[in-house]
Amino acid sequence: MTDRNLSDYTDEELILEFQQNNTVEAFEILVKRYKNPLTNYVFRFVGDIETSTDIVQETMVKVYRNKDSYKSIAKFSTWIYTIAGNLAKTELQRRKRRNFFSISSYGEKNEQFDIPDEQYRPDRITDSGIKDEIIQKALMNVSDAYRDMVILRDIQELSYEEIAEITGVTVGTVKSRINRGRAQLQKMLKDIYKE
Amino acid sequence: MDEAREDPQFEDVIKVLKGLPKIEAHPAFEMDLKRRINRAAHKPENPLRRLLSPSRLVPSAAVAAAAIMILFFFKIPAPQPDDPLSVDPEVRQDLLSGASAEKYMFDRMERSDGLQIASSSGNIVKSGLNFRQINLSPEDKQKLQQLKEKFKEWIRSSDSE
Repeated sequence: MTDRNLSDYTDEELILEFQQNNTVEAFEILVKRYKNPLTNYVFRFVGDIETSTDIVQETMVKVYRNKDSYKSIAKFSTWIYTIAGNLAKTELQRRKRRNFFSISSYGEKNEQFDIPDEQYRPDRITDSGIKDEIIQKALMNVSDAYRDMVILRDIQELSYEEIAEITGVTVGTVKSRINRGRAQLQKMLKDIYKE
Repeated sequence: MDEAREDPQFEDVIKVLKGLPKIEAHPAFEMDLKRRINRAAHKPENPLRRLLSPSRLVPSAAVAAAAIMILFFFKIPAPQPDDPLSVDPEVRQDLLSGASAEKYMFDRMERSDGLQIASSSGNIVKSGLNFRQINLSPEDKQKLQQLKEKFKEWIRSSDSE
């Protein structure tokens, strides 16, 4: 094992090297490999780049401090995605508690005060940056449980089995939730398909 | 990812999601991470946080809940003190003599089972009595003795009536 370059090691070999010999370089290679995919995953889930950076860094700190809690029976990617996913869900729950009072409750006669979103107008969809924003906003409107799995499958391109391990549900439930999430998105994004 | 296995009705949605740009970590990510790890390593652990951690809090809460349930369901009866107004006073059987004792104890006999009536010789037993010892002069002792004789005489005469 010592003749090979550390960068040629698999994820599981790297974490084992880090566990057994405290080789920080092994940990740094894992950080390089996962910082971008995890940032992408978490950003698509929470919708905010600063928060997602914070969550991914916290994930890496947890991997560093709790390296011995990783058991080699599971894939390393499953483990790190699980940590990141749990931190992201905790952040969303915290946000929901902070946003307890919605703007609608300020009306005198229970009137609804919704801020009109100009960006959903079909005549503005031609700009790809705005299109990406619209897709991201639509994704944020999908239920949390469905959104998580849609992102892992359709954006991160993980297998159903791996998603089932990360989220702790059966493969059947994973498929069902992914399809429901896709159905919700489809309804919201029907104007984009005209392009 | 095997797209052929995916539901064809969601082909458009999947295409749209795959077309999203990949968000990357900022260039200083690793440097910030190192600082964060060093900060976390030097931060002393809050003892209160350790005490209130779920691994300690959950068993403690479980024990407390079990204790409350046991006290709630299995009420330990407190010893009921006797109502002093309904309890007959203890009688000093060694102070009572003969028929007067029987007469005095008559009602108690009716109420209490197994009550032993002791007939007294008439002599008062001083042991165990809590009274102040007074040193009397011989004249006083003589007077006292005379009073006692008179009292006994009076009791005898009242019994015979």
